[in-house]
Amino acid sequence: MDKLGLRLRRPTGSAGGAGDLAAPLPALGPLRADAAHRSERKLVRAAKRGSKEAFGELFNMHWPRVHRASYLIIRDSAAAEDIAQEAFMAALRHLDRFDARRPLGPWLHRIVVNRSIDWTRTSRIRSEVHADSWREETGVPGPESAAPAVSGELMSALGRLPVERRAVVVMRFLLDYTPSEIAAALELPTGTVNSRLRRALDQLGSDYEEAADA
Amino acid sequence: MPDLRSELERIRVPEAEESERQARLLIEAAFDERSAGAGDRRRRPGRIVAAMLSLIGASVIALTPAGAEVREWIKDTVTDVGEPNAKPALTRLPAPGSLLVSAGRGAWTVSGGGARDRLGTFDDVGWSPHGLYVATAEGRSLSARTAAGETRWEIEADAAVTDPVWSPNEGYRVAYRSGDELRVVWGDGVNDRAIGAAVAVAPAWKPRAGKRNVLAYADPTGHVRIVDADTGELLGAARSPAAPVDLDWTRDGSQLLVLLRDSIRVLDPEGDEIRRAKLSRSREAVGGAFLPGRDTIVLLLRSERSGARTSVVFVNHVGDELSKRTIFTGSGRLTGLAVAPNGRRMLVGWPRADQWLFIPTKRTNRIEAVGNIRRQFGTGENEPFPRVEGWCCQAR
Repeated sequence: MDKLGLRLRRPTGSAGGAGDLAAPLPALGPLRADAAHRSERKLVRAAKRGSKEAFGELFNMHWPRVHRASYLIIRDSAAAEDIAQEAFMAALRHLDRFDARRPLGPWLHRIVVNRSIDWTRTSRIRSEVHADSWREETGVPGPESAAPAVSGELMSALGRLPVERRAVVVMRFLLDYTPSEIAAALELPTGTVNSRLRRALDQLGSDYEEAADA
Repeated sequence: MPDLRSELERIRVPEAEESERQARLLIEAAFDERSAGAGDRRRRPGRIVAAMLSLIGASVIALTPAGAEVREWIKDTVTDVGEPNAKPALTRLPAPGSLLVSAGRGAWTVSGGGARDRLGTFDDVGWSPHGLYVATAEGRSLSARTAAGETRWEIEADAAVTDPVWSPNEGYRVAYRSGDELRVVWGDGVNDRAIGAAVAVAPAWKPRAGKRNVLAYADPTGHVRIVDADTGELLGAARSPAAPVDLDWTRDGSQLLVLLRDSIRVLDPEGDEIRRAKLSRSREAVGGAFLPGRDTIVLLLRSERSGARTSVVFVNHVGDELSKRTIFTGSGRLTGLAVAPNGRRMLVGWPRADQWLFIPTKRTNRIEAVGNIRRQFGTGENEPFPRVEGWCCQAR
């Protein structure tokens, strides 16, 4: 636990071990629950049969997390919107060939995370409004907000991570994937994913400590 | 105790609800198109597509083959693009005052009741401070006319005249550009004199300058200069790394907006920088102005990424904080930003939708749209879209 009371779920045991990074998180997202999966399968089948309402339900189920994941990785709300839209348009395009027995979420997440990484790489160092203390009105809560400043500091700390580490943090802690699942999605060795996670958490932890000391 | 996962969930995504709404409309329209393609190829009138385009534009659609299909469909229903429930004709202005409009090569006035009067054929026009006169530029000629079209005076410049701007201080001066030179003439057409070399952006008179006539303009050496137009005294200057898109004073004359394509700068009357903010690289400022007061700047931000669209964005700058709020996004360009004299509405043109949008400056009101703008001002498809040059004078 860091000085601000943020639990980072650092790896335990030896420095080289995966520790709890490989373990499933205790609070699994509803999309990964069996009931939700069954419901999703029905919706996918209905959408394939032409039910716009079913596809709308799928959109409702997945949009918030897909959009958030992209935003956390690239930190540009307009671009995140575009990338998330692309993912859903791709899902719609491939709907007829989609295997309804498989969950839709991972498929969307893989597209969004990879495209978010690509977008950030091609944009190089962006002179974002954040750098000029330009806070989105509906974005990170300001000090006057009921929400504490931890989220704002976290957003800043995430921004200091290389995009590759940011992406694995988002996949692990927002989207609830195990390192091996992340490795498959990003086409990386599992060891690389674990390494990136460890380095990311170390960096986030030290950033928080500096923020707390400041 | 919060953990990383819950903190990631708590970070608020800017404009998340609006993004979701726009995305849903896009996806629904694409789903309809997919269904139409798989079935009997029925082509329902593009109500959903129209609603979608009014919010997000065809730009996003260009990203994917499915989107490309929708885009092709949209080409057939392009007249549906725009704000839904737009009024078919301009029958009244939703805020007091009168408009001065450039349409094709014609200039028009529009009264509060919606009556349109054609002034004549001009290259550029500008209201006098009380809306009693119009400064008109045509070729190398600058003239002052009554709102009824009667010429009061006329002078001839050495080069083409553009950007006539009447001083707000009782109308004693008119600034204009002639070729690459900034000049000022008195309000009765005498004492025409050069101020200096200037780049192609309209100069801005400082309101409430007392007995002085203070003018801000951008020179070709990369500076914004603030000068006394009568004495030539330099009152302030600031570096400007590029030619500004717009210059605009607050109504109390205490701050000057220098809008560049990639950033905002706010200066005090001495040219000292009060504020600087850089825009996202994916967006380019194409217009901007202060709303009444000193805290809010309205910007037109154009994005070419994944297609062209333009957003109306409010930027609040209070103390050390800057925040922004996107009010509207339309496909293609938005043009001709004009703020109502009472500050409660602003008007932008949306050429692709053939609409004018009267956008509220407070959250409590809705956008009012008026369609068929080209037809109402006799403007052809190949001519520039009717552009509001000024919204003048509550009392007029």
